[in-house]
Amino acid sequence: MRLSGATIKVPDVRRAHTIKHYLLSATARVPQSGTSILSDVTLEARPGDRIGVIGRNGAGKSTLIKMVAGIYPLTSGLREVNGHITTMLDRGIGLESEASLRRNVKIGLAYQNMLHAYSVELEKEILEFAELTDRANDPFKVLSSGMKARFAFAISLFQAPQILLLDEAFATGDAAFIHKAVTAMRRQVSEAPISFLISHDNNLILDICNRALLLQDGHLIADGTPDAIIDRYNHSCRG
Amino acid sequence: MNSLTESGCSIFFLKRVQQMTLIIFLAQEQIYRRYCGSLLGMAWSLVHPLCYILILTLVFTTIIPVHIDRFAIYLSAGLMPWSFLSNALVAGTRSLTDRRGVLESSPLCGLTFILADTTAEFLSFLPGYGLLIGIVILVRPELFFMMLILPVAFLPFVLFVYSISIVTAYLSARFNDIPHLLQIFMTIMFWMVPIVYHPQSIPQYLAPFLQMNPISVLISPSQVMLHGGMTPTFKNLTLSYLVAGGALVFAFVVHRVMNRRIIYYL
Repeated sequence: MRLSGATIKVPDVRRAHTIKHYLLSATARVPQSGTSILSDVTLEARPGDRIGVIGRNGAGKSTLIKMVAGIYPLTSGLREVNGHITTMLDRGIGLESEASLRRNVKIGLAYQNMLHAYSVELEKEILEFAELTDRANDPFKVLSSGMKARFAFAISLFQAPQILLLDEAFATGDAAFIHKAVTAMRRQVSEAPISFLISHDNNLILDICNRALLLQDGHLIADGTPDAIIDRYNHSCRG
Repeated sequence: MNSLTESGCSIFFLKRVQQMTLIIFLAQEQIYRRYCGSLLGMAWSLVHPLCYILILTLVFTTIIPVHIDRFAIYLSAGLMPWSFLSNALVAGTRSLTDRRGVLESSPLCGLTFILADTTAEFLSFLPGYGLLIGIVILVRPELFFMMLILPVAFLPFVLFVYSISIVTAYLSARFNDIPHLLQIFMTIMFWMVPIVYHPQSIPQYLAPFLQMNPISVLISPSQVMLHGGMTPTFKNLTLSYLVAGGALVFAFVVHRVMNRRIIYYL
């Protein structure tokens, strides 16, 4: 996986979202404005890299991950990716409130573009991991929010990606499940050839990752060992 | 080298098959969500057009007579495809705009959802159209074999609907005004397509407008078969394939131009 001078500039939506604004800017020859949310990021990830992404809120961590995933296209620069990417960023995207958990396993896999991986055995494994086997035929909407989070997490977990993009905030639920989820996440990260983990938990980064990136205001300002990067991040937070 | 090319080809086709399976699955989910728990289930997709056809038949045979034989069949042959087009376009305006969260987190491309939404509309349209074909065969059994070639006449219309749905979806995500403009456009277009009146009943000076209307060109081949019991002319069929081909090319260009950055406009 390689990014070279990767930049994302988003259009000023308030100006461009109606035909009126579009026509006015076209006739007045106003240059298309935009805001840079990620600037000139260059990095290379090789098999064996477990990369922690650190930075304050709004630094561009999620944007970087979504750019690697191909969700956010580049305005300029280069993105080269070889291998299947799995994202564990948001809980329960596309899950249907009226449909049963069984049906939602299929829906969840479909939204991860993994429908072809569906099997009855996989469905069983997912429900078992989420500790919801006995509620397999219940509609999703009757679950508590903790159960919903467990279920959504379990669906995303049962994939074998070459590049894993993971947001730590993804693992939620009760204390016992968080422990189980974090253990599963560690296993996933160690099994995937390349992993990116967004986290505000320095210990988790130190424990899991062998490399870290520090982002600030959409710029990649440091790339190195987790302890060096965390030191620098702590300094910048205090300063 | 050969085996490499063959494996490349098989991966390509496997991926296409996976994509099609995914689109059909998402369309089925859409239909399930729409009708799940309702009294009539998917039969609602028949009830609405049937009511509309009944009312219009009543109006245009008794109140304002239009003097067309078997008017209900004539009307259905035009109105059902029109409803499919109209519903698919309305669904298209929401395909991307309603899925911002999904598109920001899922590896699926926006086009997958547009095609799934249109397929859902197509699957909802099929039972009604199938019923119409059944009634035509029942009333005129001699048309049975002609109905077997109806898909050839109807295919351009389906391609056109898919293409225009793609265009509408991208433009709606880019410009807020599109759904409003589309409503007005569809109202005008409904009366510019010979659905409730016969093309020969309009004044001569308006005939060229009707002939230039691409939706008329696309609906008329199947209308001629279902109502008139005649095969469409070669000219008419060619024209409908040309219109559908043009729409496909246009949709492809819009997709290529807008797909990359549409996520930033949602």
